[in-house]
Amino acid sequence: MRRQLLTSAVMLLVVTLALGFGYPLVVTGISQVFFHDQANGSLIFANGKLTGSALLGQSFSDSKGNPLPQFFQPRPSASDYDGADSSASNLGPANPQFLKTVAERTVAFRLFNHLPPGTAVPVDAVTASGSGLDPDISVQNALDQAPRVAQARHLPASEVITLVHRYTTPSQWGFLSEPVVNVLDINLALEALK
Amino acid sequence: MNALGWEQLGFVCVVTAILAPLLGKYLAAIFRGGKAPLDRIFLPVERAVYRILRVDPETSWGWQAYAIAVLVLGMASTVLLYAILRLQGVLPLNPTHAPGMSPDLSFNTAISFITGTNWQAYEGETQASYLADMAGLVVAQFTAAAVGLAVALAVVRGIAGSPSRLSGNHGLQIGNFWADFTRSLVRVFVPLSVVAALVMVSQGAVQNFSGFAVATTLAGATQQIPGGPVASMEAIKLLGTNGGSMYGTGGAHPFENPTGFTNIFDLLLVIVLPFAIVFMFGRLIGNRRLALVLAGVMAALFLTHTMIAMQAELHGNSMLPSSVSQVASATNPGGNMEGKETRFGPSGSALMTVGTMGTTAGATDSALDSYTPVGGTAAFAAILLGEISPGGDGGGLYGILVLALLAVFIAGLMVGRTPEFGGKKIRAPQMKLVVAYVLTIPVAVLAFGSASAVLGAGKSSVLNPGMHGLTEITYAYASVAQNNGSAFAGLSANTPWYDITLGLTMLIGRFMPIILALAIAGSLAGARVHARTRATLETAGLTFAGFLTGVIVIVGGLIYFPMLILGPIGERIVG
Repeated sequence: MRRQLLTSAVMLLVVTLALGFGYPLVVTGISQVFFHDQANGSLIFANGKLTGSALLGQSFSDSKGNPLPQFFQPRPSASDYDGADSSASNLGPANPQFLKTVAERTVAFRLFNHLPPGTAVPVDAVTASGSGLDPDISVQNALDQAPRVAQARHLPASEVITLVHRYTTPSQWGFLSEPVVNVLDINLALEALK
Repeated sequence: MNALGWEQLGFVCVVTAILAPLLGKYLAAIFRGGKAPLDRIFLPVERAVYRILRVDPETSWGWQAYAIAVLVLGMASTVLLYAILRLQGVLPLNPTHAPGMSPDLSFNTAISFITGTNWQAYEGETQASYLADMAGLVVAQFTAAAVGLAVALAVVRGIAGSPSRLSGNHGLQIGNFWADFTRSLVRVFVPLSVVAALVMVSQGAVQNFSGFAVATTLAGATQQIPGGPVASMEAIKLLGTNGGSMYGTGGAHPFENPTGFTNIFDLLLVIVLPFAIVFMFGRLIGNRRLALVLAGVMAALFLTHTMIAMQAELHGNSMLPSSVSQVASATNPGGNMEGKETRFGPSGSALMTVGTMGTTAGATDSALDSYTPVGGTAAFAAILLGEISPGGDGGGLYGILVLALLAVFIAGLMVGRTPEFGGKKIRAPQMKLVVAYVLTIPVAVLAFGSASAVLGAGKSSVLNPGMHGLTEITYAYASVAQNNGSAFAGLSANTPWYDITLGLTMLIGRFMPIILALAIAGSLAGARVHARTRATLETAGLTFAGFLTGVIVIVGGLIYFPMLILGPIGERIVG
């Protein structure tokens, strides 16, 4: 028993040094050399300033929390796109609070995008994501928002719709992912049009 | 299921069917003794470790000594990890300024990672330092995985039992723990983790030591962008069937699981190795047909719960207003998207999340609490059936072997044949241990679960009212008892009551089965191998596969059925 305790202690020392420090340092070293951009969070700089990450969603609302019409809007987020606190709503599918929230979001989505009452709303536009940092929206969600964005920017709707198609990320390998539109990417493209 | 779902599932099946037997062959070569592939690289490393430890890898032990080594290492690691978590606030490598964890949270978290459960009652981004993640939690993930594989090897030696076929088996002895442990790490977990981590980084998983970067968003607000050695943890989290992530939402977080490719890659990292361990078993005992039967049963269960969940999540939430478009199309993933990422959609999310539920990883890429009742029940069922589809690294094998012994015994009684497994007679001493094994976890789950549903300290943590709340509570105990660690995360589990009772449940759920499985191995190790006769019950065939599946479903089902009726099934009927 005492012999095993001593061996355990030595083994813990060995694995802590080799696996606790050696292993992550080796992986970090190789990653920083060969995949520098990815390893550091796929950061996006605009005019030399850090604007965000291509992989993380961000909020496009004003300081009062109202969505800005000139930008494509991301999905609802349980953490309000706080990068330090990823979270999902964890509301059950029959939770009355959840059902009420979705109904309210559905009405708000139509109102904000000038869609007639009763129009079908894509499900991703009214549900919160798993991470609270989903960078993407569905293509349908983007198409529904395009006329409103065009109006706010005094652009022809067709131009913004073309942009949606250009910024649609197709399914990886044709089947590994859903086709999506990265919200930060397309909003940066809109800004670049100016 | 739609085309996308079928293609993803088909891809997973094909890759697993190709890789698992190959990896199983490699594992068998490593652990059979004698020459093995890549000896030139790995042998010097192993020898260096043995020299430092001053152990002789050739001496073989009885089951008691083996169990004591497992327990002592577990105890020592828990104490070390507890200390790191308590002290992380004053230790270096803490750019996110995580304070030391409270005593009950440290207790819970230390046990959680040592047992391979990876239940996370803390917030990943802000409550664990990089040092705690790397030198504490990741080390625990490696050791938990290696312990699982080592125990499985000892059990295999007990069952195989003929000295000529396996090194380190002489009579009652079942191997050398330190040799098994070292070999697992050096030749399996470490090299595979390095490769897996780099693949993830190439897709966008982060790997740095930068802490939070502060961005000014397009809308003019600020956003903190997290960093950390994420990919290196992600790799062993999955390969070691652990499940614990650096970030709170785990596999849903774009920095851990950035693309559809990593989503499927993550699932494969979890399930290929447990299947490979079964194929290793077949080679080591010289009965590859039996391994095929066990792997087949595992695969059938895996496909059942995964496909049910994929279909349910794609079908969507029937309680949403009809004007919310949940019909999948080329421009809309559709389905139940609450708690799911757009890039994965309902099919990819359910495939990855529920696909890992039959292992002890419980790695999720979506919020289980928001799954439809049917999808959530499928995940729950995978856990309740005992984590054998295909189970944890090692744990899946010894789990299904114990159930196979039970099935052999019942079948033997029914048809009047001698219950034999691997040529060894199964008698009363083994059956007592088997029954204790089967009952340990349900007793802990139902006792603590019902106490929490009654006591104020338990009830106050529930987010969703009614039947869903009972599911949240019982899921938590079942998940940690099976060392799965996934959660219906609406339960606020960081309270002294849950930290401590869940911690105890994890200890029971990890170490009692290990001790009992080793005891079974020990009791079989000395048994004589009988030649096959016409009275021997055939275990390497389709009939036994069907019978074993039945035993698994009935044992799991009958124990938990009342609780499932009050929880998710009731929710489905009422809803």
